Amino acid sequence: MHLGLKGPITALLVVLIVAACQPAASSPTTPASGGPGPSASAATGSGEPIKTALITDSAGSTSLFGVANINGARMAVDELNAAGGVLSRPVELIVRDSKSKPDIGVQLTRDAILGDKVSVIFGPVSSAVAAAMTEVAKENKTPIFFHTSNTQRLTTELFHKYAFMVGPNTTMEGRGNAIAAAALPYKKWAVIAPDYEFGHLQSEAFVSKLRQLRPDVEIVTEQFPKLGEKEFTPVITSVLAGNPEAVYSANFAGDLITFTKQAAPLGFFDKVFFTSLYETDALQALGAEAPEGVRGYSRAPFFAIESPTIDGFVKSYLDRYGVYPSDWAIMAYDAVKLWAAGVEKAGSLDADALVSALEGYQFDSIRGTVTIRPVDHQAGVSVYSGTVKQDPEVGFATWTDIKIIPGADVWLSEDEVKAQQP
Amino acid sequence: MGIDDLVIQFLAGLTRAGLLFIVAAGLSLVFGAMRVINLAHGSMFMVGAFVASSVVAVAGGEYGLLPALAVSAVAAAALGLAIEVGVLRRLYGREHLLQLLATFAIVLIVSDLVRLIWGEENLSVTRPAALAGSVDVLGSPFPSYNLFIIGLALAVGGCLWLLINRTGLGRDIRAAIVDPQMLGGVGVNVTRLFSGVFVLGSGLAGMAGAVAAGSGAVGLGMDMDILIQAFAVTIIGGLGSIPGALVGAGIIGLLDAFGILFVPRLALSLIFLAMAIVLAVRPSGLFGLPERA
Amino acid sequence: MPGANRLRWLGWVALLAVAVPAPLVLGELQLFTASRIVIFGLWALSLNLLLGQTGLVSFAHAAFFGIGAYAVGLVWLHLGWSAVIGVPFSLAAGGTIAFLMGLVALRAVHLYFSMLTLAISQLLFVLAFTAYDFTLGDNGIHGIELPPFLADTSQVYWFVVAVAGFGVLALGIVWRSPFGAALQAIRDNRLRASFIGLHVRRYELAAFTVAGMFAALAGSLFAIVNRSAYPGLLDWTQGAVPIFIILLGGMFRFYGPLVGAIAYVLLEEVVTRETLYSNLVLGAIFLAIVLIAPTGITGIVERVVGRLARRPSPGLTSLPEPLAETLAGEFEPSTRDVET
Repeated sequence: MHLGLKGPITALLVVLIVAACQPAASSPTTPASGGPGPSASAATGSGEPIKTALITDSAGSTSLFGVANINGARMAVDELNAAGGVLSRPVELIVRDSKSKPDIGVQLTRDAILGDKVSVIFGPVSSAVAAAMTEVAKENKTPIFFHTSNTQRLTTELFHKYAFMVGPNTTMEGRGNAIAAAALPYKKWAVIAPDYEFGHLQSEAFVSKLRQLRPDVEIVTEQFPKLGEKEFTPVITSVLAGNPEAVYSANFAGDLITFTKQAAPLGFFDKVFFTSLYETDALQALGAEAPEGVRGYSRAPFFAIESPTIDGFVKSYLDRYGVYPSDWAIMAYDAVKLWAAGVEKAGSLDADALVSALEGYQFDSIRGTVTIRPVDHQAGVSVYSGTVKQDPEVGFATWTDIKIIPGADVWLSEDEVKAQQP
Repeated sequence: MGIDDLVIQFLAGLTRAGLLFIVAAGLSLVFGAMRVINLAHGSMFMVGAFVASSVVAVAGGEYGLLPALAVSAVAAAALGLAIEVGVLRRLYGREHLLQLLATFAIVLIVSDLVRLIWGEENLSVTRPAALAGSVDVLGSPFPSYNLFIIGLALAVGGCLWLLINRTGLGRDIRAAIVDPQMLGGVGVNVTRLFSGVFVLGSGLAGMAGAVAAGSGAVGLGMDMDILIQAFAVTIIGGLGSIPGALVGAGIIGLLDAFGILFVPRLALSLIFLAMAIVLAVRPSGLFGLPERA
Repeated sequence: MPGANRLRWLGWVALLAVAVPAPLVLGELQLFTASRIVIFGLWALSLNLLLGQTGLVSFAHAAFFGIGAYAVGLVWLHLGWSAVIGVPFSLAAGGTIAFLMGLVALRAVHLYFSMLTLAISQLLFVLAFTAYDFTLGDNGIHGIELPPFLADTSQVYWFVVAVAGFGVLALGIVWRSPFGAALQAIRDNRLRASFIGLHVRRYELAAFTVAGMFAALAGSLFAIVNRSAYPGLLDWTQGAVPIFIILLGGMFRFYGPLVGAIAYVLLEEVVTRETLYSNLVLGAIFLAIVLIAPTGITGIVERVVGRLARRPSPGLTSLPEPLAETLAGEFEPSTRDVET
């Protein structure tokens, strides 16, 4: 080791460490747009702050969902504080990153519950992390609200009384899309879904509901490319080789962008009717390359939602972060607001009181008024779909011809749920 | 399924093979000449893709991706130089394990630096207009961009062949692959050779990143995804062998394309299965020189 | 050196004296941290049998940890047996799979061996990820039920300490045995070891099998503490964890990985809590260690102690090759009592 260089290298490493050590808990990360972040959540109200934690995944390929979660949740908390807090106490939001690793998610959840004594956990992006975290919440009788991870198992096999789900679960999403698809004339369908639990559960729900509604429909091929696939051409050509009239896809985010770019030159969008998870982020990233005429579906697209609060919400979000809110920001925001409404109704932070307050509760979400069903704590949120079309007003493609399927039409029946719950 | 479907599938397989070859050739060269398993190779690829997105954002979509190929290659090469001089050079002659760990530490550092610089969103890079369409292959449209990737891979392969077989640097690289210990003894400037090879490998990875930016989403996580595939190619072909990387890339690309067609449920495991089978039969890969005990 | 021997015993007794009564002092959260330290320590110790002692770089060590976790999860899920049965079962499962993997992978040497372990372990990862009927697929098995005697965190902790203590003891015996000495001879010079009559591959296979067994044991404890098992545990990048632990602690002392586990777990917990850019911080720290202090904490401490004692330093300042020539004191490789 040349001593002369030891100093500079050490200095560089120290600089790197310091650069990363902008504390996550007190000040926000730079918003996705690169615009200035809001100041640390101002503590209004009086008394001890109520501590809450958002444990999400902001590293790796799903990091954009995690960042949207953080933005949405922070905005909700700041609004609560501006309005005098919850139970007249200020709310403090702790933000942690599980890096999509279940063991880190578990450790952070324990740390938040036992160390920071938080009253509630807001969940992650990854269903694998969510499945691990929900056990810790159950053990410690701490409420946990899922907004982005949406595997059906969280409301059935892995359900416990302190778990809530404010996004449509995989069954609702798949069935809702099937109802929309059944109204179309196509008989020969192909299915493409990412090869992991979300892709399988969601596309199975789609296929079985579609078969039930339309016995004449034939599924000509099912393809399960790996999550994070970078070369879809072989998948696309082999789907086309089956001569389907329509293709249902559960691809999203980076995979959907890659798929779209590789499918367009193959004439895919001219040959078949296509529907996939074209939500705000994907449409924005694709820009001019968004394929007009395909059907998008999604969980909380700001341009499709009809509710008294959506316009005001979009405007404040845009003012604050400089970008339109994605589904993942809206659902995290709703999760925080649902918890706060429950606590206010219960009049205390007691977990069991919160659960009783929320079971059957009519929640005024950004997506309109939804009911929290007692049997599985699933919010009766809708499933949205529409035709992709360039929208000069926002500067990227959004949807026209919007169809909204109410959650209560597509969730599992109470008997089905009970049969699967422990 | 007609013959035209098979031809299209074959070309699709070659496209993936082309991209993998450009990445794996660099990885293989670095290993062959330096005996370093460079886990940060995928990071160079990711940096190349993000740099390309910025270049296209500045230069515009019409031709932007073509200069981006060069800028990304240079950016990744510069990063490679910094890593070689600042980190790896301190570890030559030490345990291989330390080099491996150093490159893994760099993977972690670069992944967060990219997040700090470019943010978390997925980006989509516009292809040049001339490459955005398709050409007719036996009556079916096939993306021009894919043909461009195949052509570029062949060109890179040709240049590497010339470099290794027709230049002084190439002679030294060949010597290093056969016996790294002997190099210093015969008067080769080992320091310069290692820097040169590492910069070349990094530059290739960066350029491949720019190429990939044109055909798919640019996002975090690209680094580990390509790394594991490039490993598979290099291992099957034999560490240190450029022809091996070519054949290995062909095998992985085609296996994947036809795997999806015929045994879709196995597609995930095919790569690793192929890797394990080849290595179990020929532990040094198809074209690799056996490592001495 | 009878003095060193006594010192070593004192060290282990002190460790037990700290570890066993910990639940009486620590809160629940700290107990989970302590469990993690013990489990990761055992995991790293098992890897060090390959890395520090035999000189084999395996990328498959996460796979064995994951196999251990699945041994607990699958015994509970499919057989309906108590999850605890999975703990001894993990030794058998890890050992068997390691033996089979070793048979294939040890056909190659050095970096090629490393690459083969990578290929096979990723195959296992994909199997765990995709076999929905058997492993429940990518999201994994969660909510594993524990028997009544593991009802609270302290009991789980004591169970972990007891089982891991057995593992540490067993690995310690291996480390100091003639078999361990033979492994060191192989690490120092593979060729020379075969010249003096060692059946190198057979020894390496045995070491690989033993390391796989105890990595699986550590994984089974992880599943008991977290009550879950999932494919991410088998992924090769997870294998960096025990390697960094060994590096932090120092690989040329048996107890090095245990010291490293304490440092790693505490460091990781602080960093993931304090920043959203934890990869950057951890990466920079690891890079600094590789460049500045590759002998890890034990190496630094021994150097300092050696200097204070004003005698020639027994510690290591770097990792010269061959390693054996600078190895100090108690682990002098001795090949004379090795049987082939």
